[in-house]
Amino acid sequence: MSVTQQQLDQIFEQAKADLSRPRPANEQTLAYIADQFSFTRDQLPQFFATRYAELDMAEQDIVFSPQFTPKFEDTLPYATILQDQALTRDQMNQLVERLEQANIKTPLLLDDQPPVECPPTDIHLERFIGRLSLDAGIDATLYAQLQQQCPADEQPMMLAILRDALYTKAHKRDMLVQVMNQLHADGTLRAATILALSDFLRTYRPNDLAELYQQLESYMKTCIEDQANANDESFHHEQLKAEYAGSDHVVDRAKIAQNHYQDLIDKVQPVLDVVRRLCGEPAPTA
Amino acid sequence: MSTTQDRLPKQQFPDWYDAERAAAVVDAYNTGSGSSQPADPFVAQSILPAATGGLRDFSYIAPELPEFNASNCVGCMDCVNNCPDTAILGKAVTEETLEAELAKVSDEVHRDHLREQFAETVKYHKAFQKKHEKDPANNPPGAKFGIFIDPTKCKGCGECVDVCGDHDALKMIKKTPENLPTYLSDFGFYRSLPATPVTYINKKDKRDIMLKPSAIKLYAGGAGSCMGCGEASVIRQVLAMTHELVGDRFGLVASTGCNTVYGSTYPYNPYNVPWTNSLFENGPADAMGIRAFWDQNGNTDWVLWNMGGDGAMMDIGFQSLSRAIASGMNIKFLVLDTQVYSNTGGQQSTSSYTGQESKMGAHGKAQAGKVERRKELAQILLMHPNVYVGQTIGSMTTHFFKVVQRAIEYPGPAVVIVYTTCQPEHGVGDAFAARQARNAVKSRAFPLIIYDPEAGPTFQQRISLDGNPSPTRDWVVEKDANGNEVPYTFLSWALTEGRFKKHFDKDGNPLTPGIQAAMQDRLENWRLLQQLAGIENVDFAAELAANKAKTA
Repeated sequence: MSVTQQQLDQIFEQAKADLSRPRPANEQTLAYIADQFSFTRDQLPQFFATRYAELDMAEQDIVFSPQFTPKFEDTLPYATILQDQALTRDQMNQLVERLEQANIKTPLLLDDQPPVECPPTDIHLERFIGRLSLDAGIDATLYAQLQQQCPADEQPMMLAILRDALYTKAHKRDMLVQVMNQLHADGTLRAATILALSDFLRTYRPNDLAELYQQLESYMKTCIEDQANANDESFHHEQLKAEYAGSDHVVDRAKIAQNHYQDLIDKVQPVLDVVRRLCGEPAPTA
Repeated sequence: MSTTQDRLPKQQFPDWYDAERAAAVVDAYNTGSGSSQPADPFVAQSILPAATGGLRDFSYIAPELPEFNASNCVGCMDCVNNCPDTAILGKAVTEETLEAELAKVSDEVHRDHLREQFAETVKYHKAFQKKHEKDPANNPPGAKFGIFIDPTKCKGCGECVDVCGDHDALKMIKKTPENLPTYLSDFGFYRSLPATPVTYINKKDKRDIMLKPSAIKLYAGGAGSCMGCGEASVIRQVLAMTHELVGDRFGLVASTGCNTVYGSTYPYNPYNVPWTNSLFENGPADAMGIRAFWDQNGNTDWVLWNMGGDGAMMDIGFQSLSRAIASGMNIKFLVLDTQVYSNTGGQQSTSSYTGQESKMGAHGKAQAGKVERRKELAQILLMHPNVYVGQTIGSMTTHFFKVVQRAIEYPGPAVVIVYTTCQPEHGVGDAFAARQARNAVKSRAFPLIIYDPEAGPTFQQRISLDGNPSPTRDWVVEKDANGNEVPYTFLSWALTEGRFKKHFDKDGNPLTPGIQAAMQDRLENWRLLQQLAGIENVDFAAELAANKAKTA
């Protein structure tokens, strides 16, 4: 079954609405504009009036991609519309052209002045559309499994996760199917666990379940060792910035590092648990 | 496993250079047998073999490494420019060449993985391909672009991830025994590829200089600098721009400071550039001697840099710097301004901000950090006759490279003062060198300045504050979540740095007169610069009018 015209229209409307929604002017984009073109944030209207149209393709991409790169959460409505279907290359191109013709203006919100309208170019539209995983469908068997096993409230996120190009590879899909079956049998199938599994499969690239198990064990061991060895000088983390306020507040870098490793452990632990059971390995004794 | 000998830079060594001995020494230190070595002829001559830092293996240090997501990469080269350790590098390669190299990889899974490390960016692919399709004879096809991490150099600071930002092409992942070999193998593939063809190097975008092997090799990494060091990335960028303009015809005099400690910890030397070290206080005098010798020998077109920290250039060596620039000799000075004596343990410097906590500037009952006002080196130096002065930050690459290029081309003394984040002494995250520097500019803590004596007959034509946000205001004004206007002041920035933390309560409210004095100092400095540049400050004008009305 291919994508219907109704789905294409829905995708178009969703993209048009998303791109027309006012959003804060991206700080990285503002920094590029200030550094490369000498227009400070208060001069943004002049930038769009006098300089924007002269940007070459590479400048358009580098400067405005931070503004037009969708986050994972942004892909959810599209995944729900498309279910298991994928757009063809031609349909992707047509969608971009249609959006171009729609003369969309993206209102960029600045703190201290009225919104500035940014008309996205074909480069920006391709950036946005190209990262919504519209051209990656879901394998039919996997899709059926998802519908049978996944709780309804988890389905939008699961649909978005399973559209990952990662699962076009049979051996990755095979690991996913086994994990989903086991989680379903255990009554613990959650999208967050599958997202953690997907991240792990993408980064560590195991070839089969046995290798996945071995890598998960190794990952955990490394995290636990690093957590135990965390000291005052060992780490960086975003939280440091927030931790510095407070005259009687001692910044405990070691604690921040320990918490960071705990977050990594907590994210992967459910995956390790299920893969361990699949591999018939006993749970570690306390 | 390659030996050190195999990995020595491929170059012709001068007669005196004992490459085998250099390799033997480095191998001995790498394997922990340095103390069993015979007396070293290098040491006897106070010589460090060049680029031996490139042979240092830091793969045991980083707990995490950056992971590249090619599909999101735009080829901006910010990650490569902002890395202090030459640990992340980029390469553009034609599809034909890439496929030919990939064909040499026997394992199909690994081959696919390598192919996935290359992006089809607008900058290197689409922009070229579009022209190529119209006129194939005169335009090359689009190139694939890859980013590769050298795990033997990466310390895991995460700076590359922070500057990549919302491009979202890099993230930190946990290093494990399983993925480290993949990084090594991927980087080996990067090295096996031919250099980026010159045609793909964007002439407008100076960040692209870092695609050239000749630029990358100048600082081989392997230095003992801290994770995320704000100095080292700036040094790399200065070397690259200098080489771009004059080739190998340049040298460095390093005034003692952090830059010499992490840059010359025997036997590891990151430099592949003639480099000499003098004391804290006499780098400029040393440079004057070298300049005079070069000039006497007809090498007037050789570029000589003297670099040092704020301790060397503003304090103990200030007189020497003043003397050197007053001489009119063609020497370029790079001031790595960390606002503290980073090298000797974090003592207060005249560059430190009012209220900043440091050793010799402790925060306690008697005083709240530094009491004095910060000395403004740029303002002092530009009153010397015919000196080019630029104050900039490395992460604003356009401004930075413009300043460095002009400093090199200026026919006389030139001083480039760069804000360089020092993570341990500033108390900021290791990934935040670029971010904190940008916010230092935004908060007026460190305004951008260019003073070019050749820019015009009047002072106001010669000085430029271009690049500073909201140039006609006291502060940049933002809105909070409730829509109220909130100025981004010196306090807004100070709140994000550990060196000022004792001035604030847990909710971020300023507690001390000292931090208010610091803000007033920064405001007065900014207003002075506006007046020098002939910029009318609307807030100051309103304040003056209100005061006048009150007293009338």
